[in-house]
Amino acid sequence: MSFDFAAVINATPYLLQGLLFSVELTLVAMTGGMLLGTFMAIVRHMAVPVAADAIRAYVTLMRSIPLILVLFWFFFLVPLLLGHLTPAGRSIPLGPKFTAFITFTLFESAYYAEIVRAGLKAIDKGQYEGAKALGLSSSTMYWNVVVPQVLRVTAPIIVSQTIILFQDTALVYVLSLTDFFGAAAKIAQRDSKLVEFYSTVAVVYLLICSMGSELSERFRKKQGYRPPRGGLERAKRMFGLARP
Amino acid sequence: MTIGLLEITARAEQINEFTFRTFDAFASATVLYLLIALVLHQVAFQVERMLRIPGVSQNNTVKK
Amino acid sequence: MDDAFLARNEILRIEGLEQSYGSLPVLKGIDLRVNKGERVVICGPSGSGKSTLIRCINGLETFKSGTICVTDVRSGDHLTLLKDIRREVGMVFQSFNLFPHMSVLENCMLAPIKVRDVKKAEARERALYFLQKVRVLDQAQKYPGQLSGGQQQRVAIARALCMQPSIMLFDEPTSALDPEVVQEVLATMVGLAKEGMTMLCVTHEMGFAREVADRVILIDGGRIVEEAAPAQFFDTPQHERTRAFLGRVLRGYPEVA
Repeated sequence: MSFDFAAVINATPYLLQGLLFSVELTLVAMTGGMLLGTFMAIVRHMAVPVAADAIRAYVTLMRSIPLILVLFWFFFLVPLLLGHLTPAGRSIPLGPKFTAFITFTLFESAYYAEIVRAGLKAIDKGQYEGAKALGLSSSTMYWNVVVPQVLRVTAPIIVSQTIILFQDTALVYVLSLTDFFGAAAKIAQRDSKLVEFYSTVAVVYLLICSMGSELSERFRKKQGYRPPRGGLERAKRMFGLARP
Repeated sequence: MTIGLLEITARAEQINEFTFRTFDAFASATVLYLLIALVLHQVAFQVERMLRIPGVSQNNTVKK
Repeated sequence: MDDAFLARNEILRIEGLEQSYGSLPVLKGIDLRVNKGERVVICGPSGSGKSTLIRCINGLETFKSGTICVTDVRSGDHLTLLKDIRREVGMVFQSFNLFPHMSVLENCMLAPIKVRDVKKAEARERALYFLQKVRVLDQAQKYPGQLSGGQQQRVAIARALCMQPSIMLFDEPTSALDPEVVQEVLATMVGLAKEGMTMLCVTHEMGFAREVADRVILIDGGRIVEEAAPAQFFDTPQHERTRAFLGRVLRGYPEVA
């Protein structure tokens, strides 16, 4: 059994293209999802009459269906809907890339919304009261006082969700897009070097996700605590083998 | 689907391939998922209610 | 004295305030007036509704019926809208409620900038001025988590003062503090009183009440039981419930037979 990593190295440009798309999609979906999710969480927390219930329905719906199915719906359904809206009446195809960005963002926003909502409930009631007593408007209260604290508290869970999102980008194959995993799979099947390519992919995903976790640990410990500096210590922490 | 096991979505895709009734196939799959999810939501809600601590506000909003 | 003068002199007017938690009545018709520069202390047994009363004033609790009217000390406007009232009413909490992710200085600057549209530089100066007044200026760059309880409470007082309110409310400001630091916070409040700030204070610190208050009010069972100047309140209380309460709270006070 021999590992032919030369094949992997030859395919690197193509793999990097796929990786770039995976990262791009993750960043867009994370940013858009967090913004939309935070907004939805705040609306629910404030119990705004109609909107809160609508958002609750949306979040429940999005979290009940697997992402792959949501992708199918958006890819087939939205062009039909758009077609009905325009006078021509024919379905308008949206580019698969655009569909991917929108769908992932909307899907992830439901999950981020629940994370932020849990964070809002966890913040000490006195923070809300102190802000209200000072006369701060709701938007100032949430933006300047509450959400910064929520983000610090929920950072680990948000990173978890983002890691899952990054791994879920592999699903774009249903839209015939090529992400990192898809690129590796194509070449692996073309060159019949399944083991080499899949193991490389596994290692790269592992590295990236560990870096993400490490980043969130750094951010969390920013105020004061300095973890041990040695390289081995850091590697151990990245893989969760050392005390944080 | 990727490793050959056919779960709900994969079967929906199969049905689509055989009968070309895309909307029906995926709509049924969606409804099935929704039903399962709603049941799970109810379970989670009941569990949360059982675990509720009396005297602790559940939402900690300040009244407007 | 004509009505206009009287009206402007009155900073807070509460009439017929009623509040209940579900079916349990907590406030059963409270009438209270506080004039400019007055220091009013409210005391009473726990569960009497004194905290609820204070929190109704700036809308942290809603109330069933009655009216609350706050007068802007500068313009003389009568304010009934919640957002205007909150602007003119400063509040100090038992648990400080400082914002932990912002420095002491930033804590004090936030509200003037956002609510009173003060420019950042001026807000900064104002914050430094009030922090110096409460004697925590050297802690200005620190974060609330790095300060002691007494220092945190004094920062909370400075933060409320930075809004230059017409009246300051205190909700048991020293109840969560170690006994050694209670004095430094009370001293700050006494200093505030001496400068003429209108104050409404819920506290168990009877020494403070005796020294500083113009009026002491006992609330029990959701009603005002007695309202008098400190000398009369402590030395010759009119009501039996007042005597009972004082007997429990003050050591060495002649017990009710």
